[in-house]
Amino acid sequence: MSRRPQLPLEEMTLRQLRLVAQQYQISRYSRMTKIELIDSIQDAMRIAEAKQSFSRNPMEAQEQVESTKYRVGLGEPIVELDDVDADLGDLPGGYGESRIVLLPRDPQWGYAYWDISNEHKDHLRWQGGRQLVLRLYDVTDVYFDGFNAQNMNEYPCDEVAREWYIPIPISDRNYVIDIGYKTESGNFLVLARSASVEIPPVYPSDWVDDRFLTIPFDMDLRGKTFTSFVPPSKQRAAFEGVGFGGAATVVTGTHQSLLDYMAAQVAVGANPGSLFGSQQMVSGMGLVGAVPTSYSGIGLSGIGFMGASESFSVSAVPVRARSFWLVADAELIVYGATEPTASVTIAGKPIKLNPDGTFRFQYHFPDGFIGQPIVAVADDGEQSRSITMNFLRDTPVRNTNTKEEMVLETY
Amino acid sequence: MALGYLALVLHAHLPFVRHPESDYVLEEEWLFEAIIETYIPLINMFEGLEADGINFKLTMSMTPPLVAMLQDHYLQEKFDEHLTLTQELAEKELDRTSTHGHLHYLAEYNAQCLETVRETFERYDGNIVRAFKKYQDSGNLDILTCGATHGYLPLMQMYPEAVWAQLKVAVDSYGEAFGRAPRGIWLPECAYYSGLERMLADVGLRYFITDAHGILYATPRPRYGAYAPIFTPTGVAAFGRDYESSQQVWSSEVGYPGDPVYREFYKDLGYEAEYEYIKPYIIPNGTRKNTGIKYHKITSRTGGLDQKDLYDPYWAREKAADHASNFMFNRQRQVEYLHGVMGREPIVVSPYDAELFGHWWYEGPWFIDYLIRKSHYDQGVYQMTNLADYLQHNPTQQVANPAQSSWGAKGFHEFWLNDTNSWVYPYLHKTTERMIELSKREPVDEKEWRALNQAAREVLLAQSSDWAFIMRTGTMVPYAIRRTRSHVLRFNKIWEDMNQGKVDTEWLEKVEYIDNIFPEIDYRCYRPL
Repeated sequence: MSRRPQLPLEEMTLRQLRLVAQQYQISRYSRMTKIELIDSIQDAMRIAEAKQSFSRNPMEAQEQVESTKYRVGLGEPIVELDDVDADLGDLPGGYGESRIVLLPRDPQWGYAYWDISNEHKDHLRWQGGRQLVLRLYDVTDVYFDGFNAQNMNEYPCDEVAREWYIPIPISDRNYVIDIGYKTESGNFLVLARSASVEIPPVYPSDWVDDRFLTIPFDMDLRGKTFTSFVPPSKQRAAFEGVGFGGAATVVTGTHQSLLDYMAAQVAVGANPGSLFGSQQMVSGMGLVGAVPTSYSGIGLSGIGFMGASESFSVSAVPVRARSFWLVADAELIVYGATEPTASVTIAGKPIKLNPDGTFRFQYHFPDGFIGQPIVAVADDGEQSRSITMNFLRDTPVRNTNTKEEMVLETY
Repeated sequence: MALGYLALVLHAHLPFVRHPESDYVLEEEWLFEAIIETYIPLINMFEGLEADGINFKLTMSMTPPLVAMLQDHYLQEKFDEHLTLTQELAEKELDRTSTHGHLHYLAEYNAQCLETVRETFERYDGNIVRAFKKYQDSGNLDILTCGATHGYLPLMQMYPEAVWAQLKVAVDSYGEAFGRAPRGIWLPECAYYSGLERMLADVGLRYFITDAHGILYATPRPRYGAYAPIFTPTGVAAFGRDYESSQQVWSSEVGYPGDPVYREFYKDLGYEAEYEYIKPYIIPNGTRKNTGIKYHKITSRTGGLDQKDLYDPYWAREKAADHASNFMFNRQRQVEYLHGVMGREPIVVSPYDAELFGHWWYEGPWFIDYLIRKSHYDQGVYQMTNLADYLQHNPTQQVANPAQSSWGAKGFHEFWLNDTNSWVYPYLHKTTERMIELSKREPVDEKEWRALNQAAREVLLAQSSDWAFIMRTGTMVPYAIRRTRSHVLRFNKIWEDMNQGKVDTEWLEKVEYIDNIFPEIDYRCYRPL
């Protein structure tokens, strides 16, 4: 994004105006008078502003309209806000206490940031810690004691990093994240542990149990609970070997019709911003079918799970057809840090640094070659540093289909 | 006999922006533009409907920061000055356009609109919250509250005390402004996570709204999709947004607001007028800005700014009426279909940002007005309702747990958690932790009491999700960064001072004057639950 001029155009000299015109790539600016330059630049600024506002991405239409309530002027004029904050210093770089926090971003990604004191790191390295790693634990329905997670994924990470986007193995579960050191012998020395956090679901539930209640509008709800559900997964544990016996109702035509109705809206593009779940995994929707993704890993014998109109009763004869699905993709994360006052370009494009001089970018990584030369130039224009990293992705084997593309295969 | 319901929901919100410490702050004009172009036109619409004996039903949320600003004397005075200046410019325009028929017609029209704004503003003695309260007391408006400073709750879920504080302070401040307890809440960004329903019940709230998939992905699966609310296990009801009606209004490409006949938002006198002429009406340092005076229509969905023709409010109004008819027709078909499938009356919930109507889509309030009138007189398939009325009359619903979700882009939290804004969360969380610590104290004297309460205000102001939102959209980012920094630093100063047992009274007074939201706040709302 080009930098906005700080001075109003009308107050600039001819020379300054020409510099701005160059930035906006106005043709033949060197032949224009001051007035002509001012007009052309203003037009260009407004066109750029208006264009920026109308992305082709329908999902962000709502955000773009919402952002217009903050749009009272072009560019950022210098505003001198009186400084009640004058003597308050700057935001601290850290707080000296080791901690890690996990935040949910969406069904596929979590975000973790941490603050670990160097003393603490040194201490654990002295105890044999070699490689800094993040450990993501699935702690759904468990009171986590460090060892009783349902599942665990480990991600090695860089000493320099203070944050990470964490790929989530299964949505609609609860997770805790640890940061710590792995020793050479494979032990894990924990530096900090996050609180447990819920990751949202990306598919409609397969559990059907219609219960209706009448609650008068004027009733005081403080401190009250009206019903408690026992989800099927827990019911299964209680009745080992008996199969799925908890559902009180079947998936009716109504359930499915409403689902289809809303899915059709999404297909026609009637979606201003949600019900996409993962764009990569589900082209438009994962609203079809009843594969119980939430219960993966738990044996599902005796259940017919093709089509939502099957009934889930214990005595159902297993259906002799099955289908399957897998999707996978890749993203590339590039990150680093420099002086906060430096100018940095990646592949020739200028990028915006965070206030502390760090930067981090994450992109979809398709098949092919990505070259990422990164150049940082100090604000005096004299010193510079650079690094070029090349990435090549190739997909030699692909045998995938999305959930909605699933096709029954009899066996 | 109606087959179903339509519930239009308008979410009115602006972050708390108030800078008595500075001579001129451009960001204060967010409020002034919204008052002139959205809030007062809505009030005028209510007054018109009342005068015509139409017992309209509408749901609106008014967030605590917005209510606080509308009731603040300093901002009311600033607004008065702003309006005066704008009216002065409108007068000058009458002279400037005296030789050009069409432009002069528009200049007169603009001047008249501004005069109506002034009359309305003065009718309520400068406090337009009174108008909204009046229509709630009459049973027409159902006014929802929101998070105290519109904090993004799922990203502070690991600090339940912070979530509780956002809810409690909001409910208390609503009571002061509207004279009764709120029944419903608009969760900031409709962002919900499991567990929130316990706190909503315990703070006395009865219902909230989520995006469609918040209901659609609920467990167990809702029988009626998002076309009936569900009761959470704590009894609090959750309504889901309807896509179809959303798309028709939000999308600037295929939706109503982009129609060529409507007024063009981006072509403003502040940018078009000759420099010396407009200089007294733009930013004091000479940079141009919006004045709210516009003369052009969109003309074409793809054309450039230099290809815009002159606007005509007469045709724009006719078009708004057409669009209202179209919207009504679609809702009728939708309700008929859903009623057939469901075997009971569906409710179609259509929530929008209030500022969409009037500010972004100039003709928006006319659209709503026509919609209400046509729905009332010209059809009987659905009845327009507000959420409180619906629940009063329909107290039997399915019980289910809504799914974590938001109405933001992509349906979850990414818009508020990405490369542009993730940096704020370590500071917000640390500040929250420290506030919870501070809340355990009892103040030894009045100064400490004031300091602790001010600390709570700073935390709340830092938590406004607007800052992260602005950082992501890229407009006016330095202001958002500055606000986050200011509130975190001010809190830190109080924290450090309190740990040394002292209070910097002179500094505290200044900060209390500037960040004066929630005068009745009690910091103990941060105490561990």
